[in-house]
Amino acid sequence: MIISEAENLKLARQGNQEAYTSIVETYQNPVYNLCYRMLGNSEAAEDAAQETFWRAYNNLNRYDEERPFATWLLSIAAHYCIDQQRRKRLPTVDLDEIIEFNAEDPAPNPEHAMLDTEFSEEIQRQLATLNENDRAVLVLRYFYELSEDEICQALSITKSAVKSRLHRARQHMADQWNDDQENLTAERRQHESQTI
Amino acid sequence: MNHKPFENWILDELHLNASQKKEMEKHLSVCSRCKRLDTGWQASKRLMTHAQVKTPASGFSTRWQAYALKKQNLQKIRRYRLTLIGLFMLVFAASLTYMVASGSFLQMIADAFNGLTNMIVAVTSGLSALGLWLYRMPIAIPLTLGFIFFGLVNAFIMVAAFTLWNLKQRKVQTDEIRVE
Repeated sequence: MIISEAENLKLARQGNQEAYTSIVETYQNPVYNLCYRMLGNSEAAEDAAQETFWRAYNNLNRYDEERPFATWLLSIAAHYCIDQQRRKRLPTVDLDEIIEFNAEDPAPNPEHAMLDTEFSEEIQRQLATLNENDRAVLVLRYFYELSEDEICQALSITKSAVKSRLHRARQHMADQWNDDQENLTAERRQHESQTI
Repeated sequence: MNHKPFENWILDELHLNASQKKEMEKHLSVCSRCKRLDTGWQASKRLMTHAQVKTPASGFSTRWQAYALKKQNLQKIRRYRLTLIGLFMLVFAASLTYMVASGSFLQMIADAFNGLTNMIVAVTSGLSALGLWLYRMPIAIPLTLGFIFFGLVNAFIMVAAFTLWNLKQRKVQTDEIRVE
């Protein structure tokens, strides 16, 4: 028998942990992905994702059913990751983690997989240079396609704050990409001149 | 050249009408700064929208169940501690109230003060008797006793200081070996 999400939520609110586990299974990927994009390494992302689900489980009674459950969950994850970043203020890129081979990746084409990894590595390097507040807004907007209003709700900030953070983050990402390209070109030229 | 409106169009991702689009294209064809910004942002955006979704290692929900169990146990211990502390505070407050209300608390303070006074008097008269006793002795005896007593105290302090210094040195050496 397939139980709907609403039914699972109702059961979980009554303290049924099995029902909540099936909710965890449903949302583990988006929550983990958000934590990974925010924290930059898989170990921290795993811890953050588990803590997110634990906090959500403890606060299920506060969940407003008018809002989508996924947005509520992502908002808990984003807040937690921002707090973690503020506490640590450590470099957030773990390149070994980024390049790691993902055994669960269903992509049949190795070229696609390679391209995906390259995209992932590149974007993670750029995201790591943003401050945690701007990163959260950008990740929710482009990885989860949340609207500005949904981001307002998720991060408990005003719409103008969302707009200004998005503006600043886009500017930073564009500059970062251009700088990376210029560095790459310079490296290539240097390499070519050495070869000659 | 006024870049500001074009920068805002690029970075705020506004929906442009046909004439604005034309104006933008015209500006981008002559302005390298805005062109660079547009190219950079579009490339970054493409990277984000094409990046693969990161997934946790298999068995996440099982690990979550173990995590939840651990957290629940911690919560139980925390609740248990809080209850104990609460009970202790309650008993303390109740007994204090009872003592103050019944007058036994003030009596207890008076007794303690009285005991302290008696102790000071006893120590003072004891010291006075010792002084009198030492005064009647030949001077060599109290001097010898004094030297022995303070000598022992000094020796004890020096041994303790040396032991501490020695321990510290050993720790430094161990750390150096670890680093090597």
